[in-house]
Amino acid sequence: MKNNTKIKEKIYWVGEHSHEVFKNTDQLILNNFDNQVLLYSRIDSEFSLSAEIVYLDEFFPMKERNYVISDLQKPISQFMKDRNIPFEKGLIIGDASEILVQALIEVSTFEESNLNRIKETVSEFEVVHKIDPSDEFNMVDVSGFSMFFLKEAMPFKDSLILSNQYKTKATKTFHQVISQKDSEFKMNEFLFHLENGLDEAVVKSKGLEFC
Amino acid sequence: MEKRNTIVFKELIHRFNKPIKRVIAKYFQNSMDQDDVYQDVMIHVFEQLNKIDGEGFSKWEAESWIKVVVKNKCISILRVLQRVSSREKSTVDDSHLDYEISTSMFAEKPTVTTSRSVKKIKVEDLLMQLNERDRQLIILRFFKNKSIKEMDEITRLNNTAVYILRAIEKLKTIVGADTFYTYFDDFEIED
Repeated sequence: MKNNTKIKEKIYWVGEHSHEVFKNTDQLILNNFDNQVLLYSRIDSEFSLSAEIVYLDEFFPMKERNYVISDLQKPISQFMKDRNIPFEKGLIIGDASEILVQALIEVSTFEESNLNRIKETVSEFEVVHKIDPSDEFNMVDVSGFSMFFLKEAMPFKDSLILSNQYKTKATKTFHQVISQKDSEFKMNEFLFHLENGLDEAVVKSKGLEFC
Repeated sequence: MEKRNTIVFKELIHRFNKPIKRVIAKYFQNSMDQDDVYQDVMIHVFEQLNKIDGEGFSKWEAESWIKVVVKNKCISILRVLQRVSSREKSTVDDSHLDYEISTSMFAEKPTVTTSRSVKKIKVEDLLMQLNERDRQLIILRFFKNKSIKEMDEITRLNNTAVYILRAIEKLKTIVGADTFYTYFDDFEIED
């Protein structure tokens, strides 16, 4: 018997800004997607019971790790590998001015499997230094995923400069990168059109552009 | 605007929680006072975010801004305490506070911990061998010091204590009981 169940597209909502947008998006539209929210930590007063939320500091032991890019790389790459991101397709939504999103971009790479193949070929002719598994080699292939950047919430000068740098960096690793230009943009409208593909969603939604 | 400020506030807390506590500790030695002041300072930071519009922030770097806000709040709390208690007044030098306000930028840089102890990596690798639920329980109990009741609420499980004991048994099976205690000797784990 043919199985007609449609596989829902995966959307990862990364960071506090993304979570806020997620909370304000129509539940009926969200139901069309396989949603997962990734946050850094639970604020004491927050006892969210949503099964969709993963707190990174409860997913990974953060002993002696701070909220800085270098310390977040390993936990994030473990999360991405755990969720099979290198072998799947979907969309990641985040605000590039947040460190959690910057760390995610930092560990992302394009078609790591191809890179590995090249290394193996070369190693037949010359000695290649192998990467020890104990090293923190945390790169994750995100070539199946597109990245959606929300308009930056952090208003500070240094945050905005870094944000632009990471947006540029993301264009080299993600399948497609889109950015919210202005506040005219409506997430409900975008997700409604997303079912027909990202290109159509970007064209039909106001306030978006490809990076 | 308020939602945006909530996002910015949370991000600032994640980033600068330790530097904020360090600034408070400079002015208040008593840990009980530090906790009280921390609450006041957090409210003040949120109020300041609401007062300034986007343009006002564009000349600031995030860390400099929050340190100045926290520092000025600490000084104003100290001033209030001075007025209330004459004994405290004699121990706090007012001219020093004026100087602190006038020099609004902090010269110190945050200390970045780069040392990665072998033990830390071992604990991380060991815990990553557990399934996600067991790992979350261990982290909540021993890294975040949550009570069993709190953990029941967070995880929506009954008797999380039993699950934790099972997770510990799994860890002991993986590395051996003796080695297990050398990895986790920072934590109070009961048999």
